[in-house]
Amino acid sequence: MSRMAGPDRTPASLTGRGSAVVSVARADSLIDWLQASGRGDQDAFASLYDAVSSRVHGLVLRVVRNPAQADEVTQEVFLDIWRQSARFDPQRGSALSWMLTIAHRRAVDRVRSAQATTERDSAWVAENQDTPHDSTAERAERSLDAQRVRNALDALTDTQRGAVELAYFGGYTHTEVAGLLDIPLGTAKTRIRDGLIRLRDSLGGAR
Amino acid sequence: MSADIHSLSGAYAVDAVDGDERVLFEEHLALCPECRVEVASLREAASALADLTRAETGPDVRRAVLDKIGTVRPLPPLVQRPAYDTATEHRGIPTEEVGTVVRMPRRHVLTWAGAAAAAAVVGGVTWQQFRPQEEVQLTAAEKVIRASDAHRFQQSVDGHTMTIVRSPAMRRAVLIAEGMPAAPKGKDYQAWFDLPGQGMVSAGVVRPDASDNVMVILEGDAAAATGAGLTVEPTGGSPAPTSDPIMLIPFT
Repeated sequence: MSRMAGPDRTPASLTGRGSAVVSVARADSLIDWLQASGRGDQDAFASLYDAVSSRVHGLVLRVVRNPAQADEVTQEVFLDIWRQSARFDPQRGSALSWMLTIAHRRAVDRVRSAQATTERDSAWVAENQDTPHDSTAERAERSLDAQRVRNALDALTDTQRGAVELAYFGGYTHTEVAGLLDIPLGTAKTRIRDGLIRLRDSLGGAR
Repeated sequence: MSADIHSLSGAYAVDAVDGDERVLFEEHLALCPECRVEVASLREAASALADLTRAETGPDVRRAVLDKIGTVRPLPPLVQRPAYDTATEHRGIPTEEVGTVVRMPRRHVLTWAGAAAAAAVVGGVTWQQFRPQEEVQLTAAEKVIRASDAHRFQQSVDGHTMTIVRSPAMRRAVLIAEGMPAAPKGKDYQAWFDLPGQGMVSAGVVRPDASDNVMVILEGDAAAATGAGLTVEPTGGSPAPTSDPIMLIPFT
Protein backbone atom coordinates (compact mmCIF):
# COMPACT_ATOMS: atom_id res chain seq x y z
CA MET A 1 0.00 0.00 0.00
CA SER A 2 1.45 3.30 -1.04
CA ARG A 3 1.85 5.88 1.68
CA MET A 4 3.83 8.42 -0.27
CA ALA A 5 3.28 12.13 0.08
CA GLY A 6 0.06 13.15 -1.56
CA PRO A 7 -0.72 15.87 -4.07
CA ASP A 8 -0.41 19.29 -2.48
CA ARG A 9 -3.98 19.88 -1.58
CA THR A 10 -3.11 20.12 2.04
CA PRO A 11 -0.23 21.70 3.93
CA ALA A 12 2.53 19.20 4.46
CA SER A 13 2.22 19.46 8.21
CA LEU A 14 -1.32 18.17 8.05
CA THR A 15 -1.22 15.82 5.08
CA GLY A 16 1.54 13.94 6.73
CA ARG A 17 -0.84 12.85 9.45
CA GLY A 18 -3.80 12.48 7.14
CA SER A 19 -2.12 10.16 4.73
CA ALA A 20 -0.99 8.06 7.65
CA VAL A 21 -4.62 7.33 8.33
CA VAL A 22 -5.77 6.16 4.92
CA SER A 23 -3.85 5.46 1.79
CA VAL A 24 -3.41 8.50 -0.41
CA ALA A 25 -5.63 7.37 -3.28
CA ARG A 26 -8.36 6.76 -0.78
CA ALA A 27 -7.89 10.11 0.95
CA ASP A 28 -8.24 11.87 -2.39
CA SER A 29 -11.49 10.11 -3.21
CA LEU A 30 -12.83 11.07 0.18
CA ILE A 31 -12.20 14.73 -0.57
CA ASP A 32 -13.80 14.42 -4.03
CA TRP A 33 -16.85 12.62 -2.68
CA LEU A 34 -17.23 15.10 0.14
CA GLN A 35 -17.02 18.07 -2.21
CA ALA A 36 -19.49 16.46 -4.62
CA SER A 37 -21.83 15.84 -1.69
CA GLY A 38 -21.67 19.53 -0.91
CA ARG A 39 -23.12 20.10 -4.38
CA GLY A 40 -25.94 17.66 -3.63
CA ASP A 41 -24.52 14.53 -5.30
CA GLN A 42 -26.19 11.66 -3.44
CA ASP A 43 -24.27 8.93 -5.27
CA ALA A 44 -20.99 10.47 -4.18
CA PHE A 45 -22.31 10.53 -0.64
CA ALA A 46 -23.21 6.84 -0.85
CA SER A 47 -19.63 6.08 -1.89
CA LEU A 48 -18.39 8.19 0.98
CA TYR A 49 -20.68 6.34 3.36
CA ASP A 50 -19.39 2.96 2.22
CA ALA A 51 -15.79 4.10 2.56
CA VAL A 52 -15.97 5.52 6.07
CA SER A 53 -19.04 4.11 7.79
CA SER A 54 -17.22 1.28 9.53
CA ARG A 55 -14.81 3.74 11.13
CA VAL A 56 -17.53 6.22 12.02
CA HIS A 57 -19.88 3.60 13.39
CA GLY A 58 -17.13 1.68 15.18
CA LEU A 59 -16.05 4.83 16.98
CA VAL A 60 -19.61 5.84 17.83
CA LEU A 61 -20.40 2.35 19.09
CA ARG A 62 -17.27 2.25 21.19
CA VAL A 63 -18.13 5.54 22.88
CA VAL A 64 -21.91 5.13 23.11
CA ARG A 65 -21.88 1.34 23.64
CA ASN A 66 -25.62 0.83 23.36
CA PRO A 67 -26.05 -0.56 19.79
CA ALA A 68 -29.49 0.99 19.22
CA GLN A 69 -28.31 4.41 20.37
CA ALA A 70 -25.13 4.04 18.37
CA ASP A 71 -27.23 3.43 15.24
CA GLU A 72 -29.08 6.68 15.91
CA VAL A 73 -25.94 8.65 16.53
CA THR A 74 -24.31 7.25 13.38
CA GLN A 75 -27.32 8.41 11.37
CA GLU A 76 -27.08 11.87 12.91
CA VAL A 77 -23.40 11.99 12.15
CA PHE A 78 -23.90 11.17 8.48
CA LEU A 79 -26.70 13.69 8.12
CA ASP A 80 -24.40 16.23 9.70
CA ILE A 81 -21.60 15.30 7.31
CA TRP A 82 -24.00 15.66 4.37
CA ARG A 83 -25.26 19.00 5.60
CA GLN A 84 -21.81 20.40 6.28
CA SER A 85 -19.98 18.76 3.38
CA ALA A 86 -19.46 22.03 1.49
CA ARG A 87 -17.83 23.45 4.59
CA PHE A 88 -15.09 20.86 4.73
CA ASP A 89 -11.84 22.62 3.99
CA PRO A 90 -9.01 20.36 2.81
CA GLN A 91 -6.55 23.04 3.93
CA ARG A 92 -7.43 22.40 7.52
CA GLY A 93 -6.95 18.68 7.72
CA SER A 94 -7.92 15.36 6.20
CA ALA A 95 -11.47 14.48 5.24
CA LEU A 96 -11.43 11.39 7.42
CA SER A 97 -10.33 13.30 10.47
CA TRP A 98 -12.99 15.93 9.82
CA MET A 99 -15.71 13.29 9.67
CA LEU A 100 -14.43 11.41 12.69
CA THR A 101 -14.24 14.65 14.66
CA ILE A 102 -17.94 15.18 13.95
CA ALA A 103 -18.66 11.57 14.91
CA HIS A 104 -16.69 11.76 18.13
CA ARG A 105 -18.32 14.99 19.19
CA ARG A 106 -21.81 13.63 18.57
CA ALA A 107 -21.05 10.39 20.40
CA VAL A 108 -19.61 12.24 23.38
CA ASP A 109 -22.58 14.60 23.47
CA ARG A 110 -24.88 11.60 23.50
CA VAL A 111 -23.21 9.84 26.41
CA ARG A 112 -22.92 13.04 28.41
CA SER A 113 -26.58 13.89 28.03
CA ALA A 114 -27.55 10.27 28.73
CA GLN A 115 -25.44 10.25 31.84
CA ALA A 116 -27.62 12.91 33.38
CA THR A 117 -30.48 10.44 33.60
CA THR A 118 -28.96 6.98 33.72
CA GLU A 119 -25.77 5.58 35.04
CA ARG A 120 -23.53 4.38 32.34
CA ASP A 121 -22.70 0.75 31.95
CA SER A 122 -19.43 0.23 33.73
CA ALA A 123 -18.29 -2.42 31.30
CA TRP A 124 -15.33 -0.89 29.57
CA VAL A 125 -14.47 -3.24 26.78
CA ALA A 126 -16.40 -2.73 23.58
CA GLU A 127 -18.37 -5.66 22.31
CA ASN A 128 -17.00 -7.68 19.51
CA GLN A 129 -18.77 -6.70 16.36
CA ASP A 130 -19.38 -9.02 13.49
CA THR A 131 -18.16 -7.67 10.22
CA PRO A 132 -20.06 -9.88 7.83
CA HIS A 133 -19.60 -7.68 4.77
CA ASP A 134 -15.84 -7.85 4.84
CA SER A 135 -13.96 -9.50 2.10
CA THR A 136 -10.73 -11.21 3.07
CA ALA A 137 -8.74 -8.42 1.45
CA GLU A 138 -10.62 -5.76 3.38
CA ARG A 139 -10.13 -7.64 6.60
CA ALA A 140 -6.43 -7.93 5.93
CA GLU A 141 -6.15 -4.22 5.20
CA ARG A 142 -8.09 -3.42 8.31
CA SER A 143 -5.93 -5.54 10.48
CA LEU A 144 -2.85 -3.89 8.97
CA ASP A 145 -4.28 -0.44 9.73
CA ALA A 146 -5.14 -1.50 13.24
CA GLN A 147 -1.71 -3.02 13.74
CA ARG A 148 -0.06 0.19 12.64
CA VAL A 149 -2.11 2.16 15.17
CA ARG A 150 -1.37 -0.37 17.91
CA ASN A 151 2.32 -0.04 17.16
CA ALA A 152 2.03 3.73 17.35
CA LEU A 153 0.21 3.45 20.67
CA ASP A 154 3.14 1.46 22.01
CA ALA A 155 5.16 4.67 21.91
CA LEU A 156 2.96 6.08 24.66
CA THR A 157 3.65 5.44 28.31
CA ASP A 158 1.04 3.31 30.05
CA THR A 159 -0.26 6.32 31.92
CA GLN A 160 -0.53 8.41 28.75
CA ARG A 161 -2.30 5.58 26.92
CA GLY A 162 -4.73 5.12 29.77
CA ALA A 163 -5.63 8.80 29.83
CA VAL A 164 -6.00 9.05 26.04
CA GLU A 165 -8.22 5.96 25.89
CA LEU A 166 -10.48 7.13 28.69
CA ALA A 167 -10.86 10.48 26.98
CA TYR A 168 -11.26 9.27 23.40
CA PHE A 169 -13.08 5.95 23.76
CA GLY A 170 -14.57 6.57 27.17
CA GLY A 171 -15.86 10.02 26.29
CA TYR A 172 -14.79 11.39 29.67
CA THR A 173 -13.65 14.96 30.28
CA HIS A 174 -10.11 15.45 31.49
CA THR A 175 -11.57 16.32 34.90
CA GLU A 176 -13.39 12.99 34.98
CA VAL A 177 -10.28 11.20 33.74
CA ALA A 178 -8.34 12.72 36.65
CA GLY A 179 -11.02 11.44 39.02
CA LEU A 180 -11.07 7.98 37.47
CA LEU A 181 -7.30 7.67 37.63
CA ASP A 182 -7.06 9.44 40.97
CA ILE A 183 -4.48 11.91 39.72
CA PRO A 184 -4.35 15.71 40.05
CA LEU A 185 -6.46 17.69 37.59
CA GLY A 186 -3.67 19.26 35.60
CA THR A 187 -1.98 15.91 35.27
CA ALA A 188 -4.80 14.31 33.28
CA LYS A 189 -4.88 17.25 30.90
CA THR A 190 -1.13 16.99 30.38
CA ARG A 191 -1.20 13.23 29.93
CA ILE A 192 -3.87 13.47 27.26
CA ARG A 193 -1.94 16.12 25.39
CA ASP A 194 1.46 14.47 25.73
CA GLY A 195 -0.06 11.12 24.75
CA LEU A 196 -1.69 12.55 21.62
CA ILE A 197 1.51 14.34 20.63
CA ARG A 198 3.42 11.12 20.96
CA LEU A 199 0.78 9.23 19.01
CA ARG A 200 0.90 11.86 16.28
CA ASP A 201 4.65 11.74 16.03
CA SER A 202 4.74 8.00 16.13
CA LEU A 203 2.09 7.66 13.38
CA GLY A 204 3.97 10.18 11.27
CA GLY A 205 7.16 8.21 11.64
CA ALA A 206 5.47 4.93 10.78
CA ARG A 207 4.70 5.89 7.21
CA MET B 1 -0.62 33.50 26.00
CA SER B 2 -1.43 31.65 29.15
CA ALA B 3 0.48 28.38 29.32
CA ASP B 4 -2.39 26.93 31.26
CA ILE B 5 -5.06 27.38 28.64
CA HIS B 6 -2.65 26.25 25.92
CA SER B 7 -2.25 22.91 27.69
CA LEU B 8 -5.95 22.23 27.12
CA SER B 9 -5.31 21.61 23.40
CA GLY B 10 -5.13 17.82 23.76
CA ALA B 11 -8.26 17.54 25.87
CA TYR B 12 -10.07 19.89 23.50
CA ALA B 13 -8.98 17.89 20.44
CA VAL B 14 -10.68 14.77 21.82
CA ASP B 15 -13.73 16.55 23.28
CA ALA B 16 -12.53 15.92 26.83
CA VAL B 17 -13.61 19.39 27.95
CA ASP B 18 -16.82 20.59 29.52
CA GLY B 19 -18.98 23.30 28.00
CA ASP B 20 -17.35 26.21 29.80
CA GLU B 21 -13.85 25.04 28.98
CA ARG B 22 -14.86 24.63 25.36
CA VAL B 23 -16.05 28.23 25.12
CA LEU B 24 -12.94 29.49 26.86
CA PHE B 25 -10.63 27.43 24.72
CA GLU B 26 -12.38 28.42 21.51
CA GLU B 27 -11.90 32.04 22.41
CA HIS B 28 -8.26 31.24 22.99
CA LEU B 29 -8.10 29.40 19.65
CA ALA B 30 -9.31 32.51 17.88
CA LEU B 31 -6.19 34.25 19.15
CA CYS B 32 -3.65 31.46 19.05
CA PRO B 33 -2.63 30.13 15.63
CA GLU B 34 -0.20 27.76 17.29
CA CYS B 35 -2.99 26.04 19.17
CA ARG B 36 -5.12 25.81 16.03
CA VAL B 37 -2.38 23.96 14.22
CA GLU B 38 -1.76 21.74 17.23
CA VAL B 39 -5.42 20.88 17.67
CA ALA B 40 -5.72 19.97 13.98
CA SER B 41 -2.69 17.70 14.17
CA LEU B 42 -3.86 16.03 17.39
CA ARG B 43 -7.30 15.42 15.89
CA GLU B 44 -5.65 13.72 12.94
CA ALA B 45 -3.74 11.50 15.35
CA ALA B 46 -6.81 10.71 17.44
CA SER B 47 -8.73 9.83 14.27
CA ALA B 48 -6.29 7.01 13.63
CA LEU B 49 -7.60 5.36 16.80
CA ALA B 50 -10.84 4.68 14.94
CA ASP B 51 -8.91 2.02 13.01
CA LEU B 52 -9.03 -0.03 16.21
CA THR B 53 -12.78 -0.09 16.59
CA ARG B 54 -14.25 -0.58 13.13
CA ALA B 55 -17.80 -1.90 13.00
CA GLU B 56 -20.19 -2.16 10.06
CA THR B 57 -23.53 -0.44 10.21
CA GLY B 58 -26.57 -2.54 9.52
CA PRO B 59 -28.32 -2.17 6.14
CA ASP B 60 -31.15 -0.29 7.89
CA VAL B 61 -28.83 2.49 8.99
CA ARG B 62 -27.39 2.87 5.51
CA ARG B 63 -30.83 2.95 3.94
CA ALA B 64 -32.14 5.45 6.48
CA VAL B 65 -29.19 7.78 5.93
CA LEU B 66 -29.38 7.65 2.15
CA ASP B 67 -33.15 8.17 2.25
CA LYS B 68 -32.89 11.14 4.55
CA ILE B 69 -30.21 13.06 2.71
CA GLY B 70 -32.62 13.43 -0.20
CA THR B 71 -34.71 15.69 2.01
CA VAL B 72 -31.87 17.77 3.43
CA ARG B 73 -30.14 20.59 1.60
CA PRO B 74 -26.40 20.82 2.17
CA LEU B 75 -25.33 24.12 3.71
CA PRO B 76 -23.49 26.56 1.48
CA PRO B 77 -19.74 26.87 2.01
CA LEU B 78 -18.48 29.41 4.50
CA VAL B 79 -17.00 32.42 2.79
CA GLN B 80 -15.17 35.25 4.40
CA ARG B 81 -14.67 38.85 3.57
CA PRO B 82 -11.25 40.48 3.40
CA ALA B 83 -9.72 42.04 6.45
CA TYR B 84 -10.26 45.68 5.47
CA ASP B 85 -14.01 45.44 5.39
CA THR B 86 -14.91 45.83 9.06
CA ALA B 87 -16.59 49.22 8.87
CA THR B 88 -19.61 48.08 6.90
CA GLU B 89 -20.04 44.65 8.38
CA HIS B 90 -23.45 43.17 8.04
CA ARG B 91 -24.98 46.23 6.55
CA GLY B 92 -27.53 45.31 3.94
CA ILE B 93 -27.33 41.61 4.59
CA PRO B 94 -30.72 39.98 4.32
CA THR B 95 -31.96 38.67 7.65
CA GLU B 96 -31.65 35.06 6.62
CA GLU B 97 -27.95 35.50 6.05
CA VAL B 98 -27.29 36.73 9.54
CA GLY B 99 -26.96 34.02 12.10
CA THR B 100 -24.55 31.82 10.31
CA VAL B 101 -21.00 32.39 11.22
CA VAL B 102 -19.49 34.38 8.41
CA ARG B 103 -21.76 34.30 5.41
CA MET B 104 -21.40 37.35 3.30
CA PRO B 105 -23.25 38.77 0.34
CA ARG B 106 -22.01 37.58 -3.02
CA ARG B 107 -20.31 40.77 -3.96
CA HIS B 108 -18.01 40.45 -0.98
CA VAL B 109 -17.00 36.92 -1.74
CA LEU B 110 -13.35 36.55 -2.48
CA THR B 111 -11.54 33.36 -3.10
CA TRP B 112 -9.46 32.15 -0.21
CA ALA B 113 -6.30 33.04 -2.06
CA GLY B 114 -7.55 36.54 -2.81
CA ALA B 115 -8.70 37.13 0.72
CA ALA B 116 -5.45 35.85 2.11
CA ALA B 117 -3.46 38.12 -0.16
CA ALA B 118 -5.60 41.08 0.88
CA ALA B 119 -5.08 40.24 4.54
CA ALA B 120 -1.37 39.97 4.05
CA VAL B 121 -1.14 43.32 2.32
CA VAL B 122 -3.41 45.18 4.69
CA GLY B 123 -1.95 43.73 7.84
CA GLY B 124 1.60 43.91 6.62
CA VAL B 125 1.85 40.28 7.57
CA THR B 126 4.32 38.00 5.91
CA TRP B 127 2.24 35.42 4.16
CA GLN B 128 3.64 31.99 4.54
CA GLN B 129 2.60 29.69 1.82
CA PHE B 130 2.13 26.55 3.85
CA ARG B 131 0.31 28.01 6.78
CA PRO B 132 -3.32 27.10 7.09
CA GLN B 133 -5.42 30.07 6.08
CA GLU B 134 -6.85 30.40 9.54
CA GLU B 135 -3.59 31.83 10.77
CA VAL B 136 -3.86 34.96 8.69
CA GLN B 137 -7.57 34.95 8.12
CA LEU B 138 -9.56 36.33 10.95
CA THR B 139 -13.27 36.22 10.71
CA ALA B 140 -15.07 39.42 11.56
CA ALA B 141 -16.17 37.75 14.79
CA GLU B 142 -12.59 36.81 15.65
CA LYS B 143 -11.54 40.40 15.15
CA VAL B 144 -14.05 41.51 17.74
CA ILE B 145 -12.99 38.77 20.13
CA ARG B 146 -9.34 39.73 19.87
CA ALA B 147 -9.91 43.49 20.08
CA SER B 148 -7.80 45.00 22.85
CA ASP B 149 -10.87 46.39 24.62
CA ALA B 150 -12.97 43.22 24.20
CA HIS B 151 -14.94 42.32 27.28
CA ARG B 152 -16.64 39.03 27.97
CA PHE B 153 -20.10 38.61 29.51
CA GLN B 154 -21.48 35.19 30.30
CA GLN B 155 -24.73 33.66 31.36
CA SER B 156 -25.80 30.08 31.78
CA VAL B 157 -28.97 29.05 29.93
CA ASP B 158 -30.20 25.52 30.61
CA GLY B 159 -26.73 24.50 31.68
CA HIS B 160 -25.12 25.91 28.53
CA THR B 161 -22.91 28.95 28.61
CA MET B 162 -23.82 31.85 26.40
CA THR B 163 -21.07 34.38 25.95
CA ILE B 164 -21.13 37.85 24.54
CA VAL B 165 -17.83 39.44 23.67
CA ARG B 166 -18.14 43.16 23.15
CA SER B 167 -15.67 45.66 21.82
CA PRO B 168 -16.87 49.23 22.39
CA ALA B 169 -14.05 50.51 20.16
CA MET B 170 -15.26 48.37 17.25
CA ARG B 171 -18.88 49.03 18.26
CA ARG B 172 -19.49 45.30 17.80
CA ALA B 173 -20.50 42.36 19.91
CA VAL B 174 -20.25 38.64 19.16
CA LEU B 175 -22.62 36.05 20.53
CA ILE B 176 -21.01 32.68 21.22
CA ALA B 177 -22.99 29.66 22.30
CA GLU B 178 -22.60 25.98 22.04
CA GLY B 179 -24.89 23.05 22.52
CA MET B 180 -27.69 25.40 21.53
CA PRO B 181 -30.42 23.32 19.91
CA ALA B 182 -32.17 24.68 16.84
CA ALA B 183 -35.21 26.79 17.69
CA PRO B 184 -38.54 24.91 17.72
CA LYS B 185 -40.33 24.56 14.40
CA GLY B 186 -41.76 27.84 13.22
CA LYS B 187 -39.51 29.78 15.60
CA ASP B 188 -36.16 31.49 15.51
CA TYR B 189 -33.85 32.84 18.14
CA GLN B 190 -33.57 36.59 17.96
CA ALA B 191 -30.97 38.75 19.65
CA TRP B 192 -31.69 42.23 20.98
CA PHE B 193 -29.68 45.20 22.08
CA ASP B 194 -30.99 47.31 24.93
CA LEU B 195 -30.50 50.82 23.61
CA PRO B 196 -31.06 53.81 25.90
CA GLY B 197 -34.20 55.65 24.84
CA GLN B 198 -35.17 52.95 22.32
CA GLY B 199 -35.59 49.84 24.42
CA MET B 200 -34.99 46.43 22.83
CA VAL B 201 -33.83 46.77 19.25
CA SER B 202 -33.31 43.71 17.06
CA ALA B 203 -29.71 42.54 16.76
CA GLY B 204 -30.62 39.87 14.24
CA VAL B 205 -31.93 36.35 14.01
CA VAL B 206 -29.54 33.75 15.40
CA ARG B 207 -29.46 30.24 13.99
CA PRO B 208 -27.19 27.59 15.49
CA ASP B 209 -25.19 25.64 12.95
CA ALA B 210 -25.59 21.91 12.41
CA SER B 211 -23.38 21.22 15.42
CA ASP B 212 -25.56 23.46 17.58
CA ASN B 213 -22.90 26.14 17.79
CA VAL B 214 -23.27 29.85 17.38
CA MET B 215 -20.62 32.46 16.79
CA VAL B 216 -22.20 35.48 15.22
CA ILE B 217 -21.76 39.22 15.15
CA LEU B 218 -24.82 40.95 16.52
CA GLU B 219 -26.28 43.61 14.25
CA GLY B 220 -26.34 47.15 15.51
CA ASP B 221 -24.37 49.47 17.70
CA ALA B 222 -22.94 47.37 20.52
CA ALA B 223 -21.13 50.37 21.97
CA ALA B 224 -24.35 52.28 22.62
CA ALA B 225 -26.16 49.23 23.99
CA THR B 226 -26.40 48.77 27.74
CA GLY B 227 -27.19 45.09 27.47
CA ALA B 228 -28.24 42.26 25.17
CA GLY B 229 -31.00 39.70 25.25
CA LEU B 230 -32.16 36.63 23.38
CA THR B 231 -35.75 35.57 22.81
CA VAL B 232 -37.60 32.93 20.82
CA GLU B 233 -39.65 34.56 18.07
CA PRO B 234 -41.70 33.44 15.09
CA THR B 235 -39.48 32.44 12.13
CA GLY B 236 -37.69 35.41 10.66
CA GLY B 237 -37.86 37.42 13.87
CA SER B 238 -40.12 40.15 15.20
CA PRO B 239 -39.84 43.96 15.24
CA ALA B 240 -40.00 43.84 19.05
CA PRO B 241 -39.64 40.96 21.53
CA THR B 242 -42.85 38.95 21.91
CA SER B 243 -41.64 36.55 24.59
CA ASP B 244 -39.64 36.57 27.77
CA PRO B 245 -35.89 36.57 27.21
CA ILE B 246 -34.09 33.25 27.64
CA MET B 247 -30.94 35.29 28.18
CA LEU B 248 -30.48 38.84 29.37
CA ILE B 249 -26.98 40.19 29.88
CA PRO B 250 -26.27 43.72 31.10
CA PHE B 251 -23.02 45.24 29.82
CA THR B 252 -21.84 46.43 33.23
